[in-house]
Amino acid sequence: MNKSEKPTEPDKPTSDAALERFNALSIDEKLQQTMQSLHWIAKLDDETLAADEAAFNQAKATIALPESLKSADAIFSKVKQRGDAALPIHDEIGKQMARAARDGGKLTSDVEERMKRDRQDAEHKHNKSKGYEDLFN
Amino acid sequence: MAEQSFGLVVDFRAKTDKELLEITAARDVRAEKAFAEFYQRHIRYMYFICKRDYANTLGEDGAEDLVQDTFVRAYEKAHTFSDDGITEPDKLALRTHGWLRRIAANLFQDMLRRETSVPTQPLAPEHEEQLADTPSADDDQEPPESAQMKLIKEALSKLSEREQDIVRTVYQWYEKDKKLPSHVIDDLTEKHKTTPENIRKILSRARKKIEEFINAQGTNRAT
Repeated sequence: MNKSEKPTEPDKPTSDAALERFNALSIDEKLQQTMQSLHWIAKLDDETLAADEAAFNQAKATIALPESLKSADAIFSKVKQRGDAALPIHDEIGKQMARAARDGGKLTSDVEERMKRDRQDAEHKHNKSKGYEDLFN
Repeated sequence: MAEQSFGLVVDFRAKTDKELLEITAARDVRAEKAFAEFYQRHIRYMYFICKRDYANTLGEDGAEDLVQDTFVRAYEKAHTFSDDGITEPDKLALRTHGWLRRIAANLFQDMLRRETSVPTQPLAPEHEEQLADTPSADDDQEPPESAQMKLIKEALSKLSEREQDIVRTVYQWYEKDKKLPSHVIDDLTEKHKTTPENIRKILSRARKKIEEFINAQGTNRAT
């Protein structure tokens, strides 16, 4: 080999294949993989979950739960606390409307009534949802 | 865990995760017993994962809080769990663990947003580099960065803080050819104090911005 020549890079079929696979993905899959690479979101595909399941099964016998996690009672207490905290929501809506009136000018009673009605309609439609929605197609 | 209900003995141990969560969602007298069985089934796994993945950042106590908060959300959103018709026990466990971990991952990001400056600002290039250098257990499995991925990173960094949060949360739940659990939109609506319709609009706008950026930059760089 001539000394001035740089050694050629060995082929990297694995990398090239991975690049090709990435380029062939849908925009949603690309976005997801990019955010995983930025550590914005956790990687939770089937392979990752299966590998973690195996790691967990190996470690299972040595895992000692802390006292706070031994029973679900703490969960039920927290659920109740959150439920109680959410009750005065109507006061909060009132405050927000008052703030909007202060900052954005006076709201007439019919506008205020319409805002309330719109909100009730939206909440009603929302509550009727089946638990799943199609955002990606 | 067996329970007498309406004169019948209900053995919750024999129920699938989906059945337990359906009973939980019904919020009747059996709800807490059913959820307690679900909890005992998965608590060790979630503790193992949260301690491994989040204790470095949150500390031991923080990781325990995260486990608790994950189960609180699971209780509240029990109706949104879907087993996709899976009946094989091992695969069903993976499905449940994936669901719980997505909840945990989003709660973790929310904790970071509240308690630190990351990621409340759009990412600067140097921050991206820093994140890319952060070692992780699966670094060696990550695809090499293509020109397209660089463009997407650039596009993401140009989104507003709110757009970034919405995009991040939604894509944590993204599964190809599947619909998004509606509680994701509920949670974002509550967090950003807006309407579900507005969240959908922001998401759609952000996605469009990214696509337009990629197309424009891709064309510019090719010429």
